[in-house]
Amino acid sequence: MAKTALIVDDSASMRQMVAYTLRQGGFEVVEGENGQDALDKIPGHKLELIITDLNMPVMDGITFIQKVRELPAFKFVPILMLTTETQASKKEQGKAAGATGWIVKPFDPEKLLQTVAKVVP
Amino acid sequence: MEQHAFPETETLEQQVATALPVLDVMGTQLQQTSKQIETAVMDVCSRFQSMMQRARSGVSSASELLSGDGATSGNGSGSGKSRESIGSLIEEAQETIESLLAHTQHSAKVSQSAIDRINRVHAATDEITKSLTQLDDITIGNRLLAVNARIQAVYAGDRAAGFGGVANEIAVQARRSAEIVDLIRSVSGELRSISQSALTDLQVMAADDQRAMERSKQEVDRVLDDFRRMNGHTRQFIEKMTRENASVVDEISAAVRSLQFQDRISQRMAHVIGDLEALRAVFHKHTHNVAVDSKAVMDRLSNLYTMHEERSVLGTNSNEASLSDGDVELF
Repeated sequence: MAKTALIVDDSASMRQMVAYTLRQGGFEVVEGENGQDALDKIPGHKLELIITDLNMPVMDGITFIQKVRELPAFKFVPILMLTTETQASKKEQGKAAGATGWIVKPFDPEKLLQTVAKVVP
Repeated sequence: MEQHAFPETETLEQQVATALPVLDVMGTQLQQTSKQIETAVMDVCSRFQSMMQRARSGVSSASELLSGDGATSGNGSGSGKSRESIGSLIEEAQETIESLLAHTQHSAKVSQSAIDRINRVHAATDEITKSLTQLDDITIGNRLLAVNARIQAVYAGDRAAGFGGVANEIAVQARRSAEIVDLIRSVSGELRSISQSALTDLQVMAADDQRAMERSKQEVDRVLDDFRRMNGHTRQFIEKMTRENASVVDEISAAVRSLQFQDRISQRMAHVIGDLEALRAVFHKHTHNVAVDSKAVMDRLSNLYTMHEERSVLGTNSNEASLSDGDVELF
């Protein structure tokens, strides 16, 4: 049975690229346009991975991670942040919120899959 | 260079208030541009991803063809047996030919064995012929004996009349014996003639088979050699195509990665749009009481803009021709 990943990004093109890459890696993909949209879509899904952007309208990536970690079913799901942000302070915020890793855009598909393989058992 | 001068007004507030709607237009222009870029990039990405998919599929199919793994045979048996590679099919054909050759050689041995048996039948018929010759001698002896017995019976007169009857009976038996010998000789001759024909046919057939098989083997060996050469060339070609396809996949993957520039541009534009809105709010705060007529500014922009969607931002596209991208109109 295929594993399921949630991709959260306000950029449709980024969602498309990440989704394609993950599908090549054998994942089924659920998409959210921002943190709130993703939170609304989470119920009913068994997620093995979440990849989220940082800067998004309605709800940003940090807040989204904090909310996700409050849900018992997703407390230990690996969450990778995929963002153009490179500031160390932001990265610390992400780590404190419960992110598993930080990937800077633009991403390399092969490298993304290698990283995913490290965090998804 | 095009001039962007705004109409002369008396105060700075009036000049700013007059130009303020331009900030709205700029923001909308940037938003629409960002959206257009995103749409275009998504379209390009979809096509690239489709190309990658096909290239990967090509690599996969070529690898299967080379290795003979993966796809199941299409013989409708539903066995699910792996399809053979071209190389193994050639080897299989070679084995089949060698098996046929072995079968023919076995047939030749069987023919030779039949020939040997027929030769033994010939030897047996020769023995029979010799025995018949001896029987001929015995028959002649019996006839002479019968003649002598008759002569002695005549000399002896009536007292030897029974002896004469025995002599006649011996003569009858000798004649019957001679008839049987003739019959056996005739049958034996016929048998020898038939077996000789069979022997000749078998020898001719065995020789023909041997020559035909030799010719077939040479022909098949030649064809299989041609197949092997072609298979070698095909394999080299497929390997080259596989490498090139893999290279294409890498290049497309790199191109898709490069297209992520759109996300960065989109973010920068969003930041600029946000700054424009903040700037407009500041200017508006200081000029909202100033009475101005921005029509001239908007008209100038309308004349400056070249595309339908640009003018639609200004709300001045009422006279737009109903043409879409790629449409052609001849005058």
